[in-house]
Amino acid sequence: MDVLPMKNKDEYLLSGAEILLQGLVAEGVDTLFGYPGGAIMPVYDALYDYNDRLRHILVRHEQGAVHAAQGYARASGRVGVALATSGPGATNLITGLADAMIDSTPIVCITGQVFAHLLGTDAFQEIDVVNTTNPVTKWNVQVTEAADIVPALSKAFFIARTGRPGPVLVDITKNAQNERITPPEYRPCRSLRTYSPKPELQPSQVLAAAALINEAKRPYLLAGQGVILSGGTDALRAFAEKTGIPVACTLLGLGAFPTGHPLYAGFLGMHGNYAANVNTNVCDLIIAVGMRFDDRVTGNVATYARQARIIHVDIDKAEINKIVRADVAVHADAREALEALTAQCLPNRHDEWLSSFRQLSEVEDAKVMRQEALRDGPVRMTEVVHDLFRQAPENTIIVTDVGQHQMVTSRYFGFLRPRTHITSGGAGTMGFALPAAIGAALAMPGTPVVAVVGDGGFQMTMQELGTIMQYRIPVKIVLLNNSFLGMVRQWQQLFHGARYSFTEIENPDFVQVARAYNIPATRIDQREELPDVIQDLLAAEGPFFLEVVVAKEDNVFPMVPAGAGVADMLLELPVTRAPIQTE
Amino acid sequence: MKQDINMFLIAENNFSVLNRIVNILNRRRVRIRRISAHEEPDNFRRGSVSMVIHTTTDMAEKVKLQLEKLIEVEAVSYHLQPPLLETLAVTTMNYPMAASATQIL
Repeated sequence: MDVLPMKNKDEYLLSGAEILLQGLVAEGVDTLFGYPGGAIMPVYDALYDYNDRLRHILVRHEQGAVHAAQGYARASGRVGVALATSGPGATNLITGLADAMIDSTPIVCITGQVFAHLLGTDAFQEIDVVNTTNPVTKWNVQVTEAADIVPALSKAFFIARTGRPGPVLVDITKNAQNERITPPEYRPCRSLRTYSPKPELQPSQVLAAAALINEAKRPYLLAGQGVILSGGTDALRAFAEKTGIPVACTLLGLGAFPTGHPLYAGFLGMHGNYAANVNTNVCDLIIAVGMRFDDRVTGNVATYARQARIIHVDIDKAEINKIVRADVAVHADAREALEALTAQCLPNRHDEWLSSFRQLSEVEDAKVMRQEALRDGPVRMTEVVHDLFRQAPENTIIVTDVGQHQMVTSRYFGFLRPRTHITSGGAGTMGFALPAAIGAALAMPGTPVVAVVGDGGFQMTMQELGTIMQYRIPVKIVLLNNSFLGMVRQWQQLFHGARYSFTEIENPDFVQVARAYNIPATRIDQREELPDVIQDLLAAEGPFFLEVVVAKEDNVFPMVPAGAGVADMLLELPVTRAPIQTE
Repeated sequence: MKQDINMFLIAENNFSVLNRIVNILNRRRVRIRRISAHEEPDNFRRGSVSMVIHTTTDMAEKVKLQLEKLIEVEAVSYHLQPPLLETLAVTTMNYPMAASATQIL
């Protein structure tokens, strides 16, 4: 009888790096966005054998990795994962971490770190990543022993995806990645003693809120991203249709309620719709669901909805009474709260109140939209977005950067489904769109993904064209080129006497740049070409780059000037050339 | 009106937890007049922080909610009566046989 060869004891051991990758697989991770370097080399070495289970996307900069992970998470609802090395690799993640923190995006970033015995010695590429990222992570941890990798990783995923989602960073020293130990069983974290992610819905809060809703004459629902994150879009629609209450969406809430619905009241915020903003100061009840009264939504808080009672539904208790004092606070998951409120509220209609939105919309239509629809002179951003909306399939994911093009897209692209609008909201991160679109496209294969970008923000992360080239990621890019940092220029025009201080840009030949990355590209500056070229863009099987040369000094209206109240929206340029005075 | 407020926290005693706590106060520009932190005498995994902050009660409430969001933080309370929590904090340190700060509280 043959004797089976005895395995060397070491063959039963796994390195910390392998244990990490097994943990990622156990968490259901299929895609990693990363960039290798010295302190994370053991993980990359182990990745070589995990090609069949983990798809690694080599980005061109760690900021691209974290934004791609964000785009992946926002499009799919799953946790996005980014890898980076120590020192500058880790600090390059910080903008994305801050962005994910304020926009409640579930991501886990794994960073390599120098050997444990070198911590605090100013070793090569050693930066105190945990303390550096403290303010921009929901949680972070440093692991210095292989045995601690599994508990840290399972806790990281649990924290990132539960409650109000957010970014988590796990920093692993190189010795922990190299250390070989008997692999522990991977047990996903289900609870933590000091963390209660989902508050229990309190019936008393629901009854108090329902009582206010049932007696209100001009109730108004403001839907934020919390509705989408909770999977509550159907619940929102059912609530609105039963109670007849108009619904407006915040920037990140776009897609929570279909824009074509008769109860859709518009887009809130500094460049939102006129009716949606002005009627905030007319309604008698605000039902704020999964939104945090960002200053871009409230304008001057001192004059915000003073006449109205406020119901604030939020999963994050620290958001309640933070900016606007709530008459009734419902500390709960948005979907659960909406379902409970639907059961408690009486069927109702508010026809007169709804018609006031239509009347105010006519004002915006006359002053803004009809002017923008005049098809003369240079191409305008609004035309491009309008044509894109007209031709794009309903499930198209639109990813925007930050600036004028972002506001125009938010206003004119009619978002009909949740998770079809991805943008950098709270942080306002220029350069977000291109890598986020990469992440969205990889998360949702077969779904069209269009990145709408400006010429300023695009140049902050345009090296990610290389990532698109290498993996043939079918991202469509629409660059609206006005050769200006448009939104800053608009503010300079309105508030600084048109002193255009360092906002005009001399740009490269973007089409040649895209072609250098083997991406089909075209430029147009005539509106007659728009329909056909957008058709080509959407029909392209792989990536496609479209540059549209638009009016240089176009403005986005309406606008709530910084420091003004929401009812003080500007619909057009003031007659005077003097700077508008704000607080 | 700003005044001295005693704030008391119980938290898991992980690396950086004190930094996280102080960061929240710093970000809100809340002045810390005094702070002391210590491990539980028989359980190094748990600890408590007592501090005197100079701020309004409205800000203290907002800061409390933000501190409670920290993953490691178990409980936060604040009181306007200066001697009470000072006494409790000192009691915790002087009575190591107590199983936890919460027992004393």
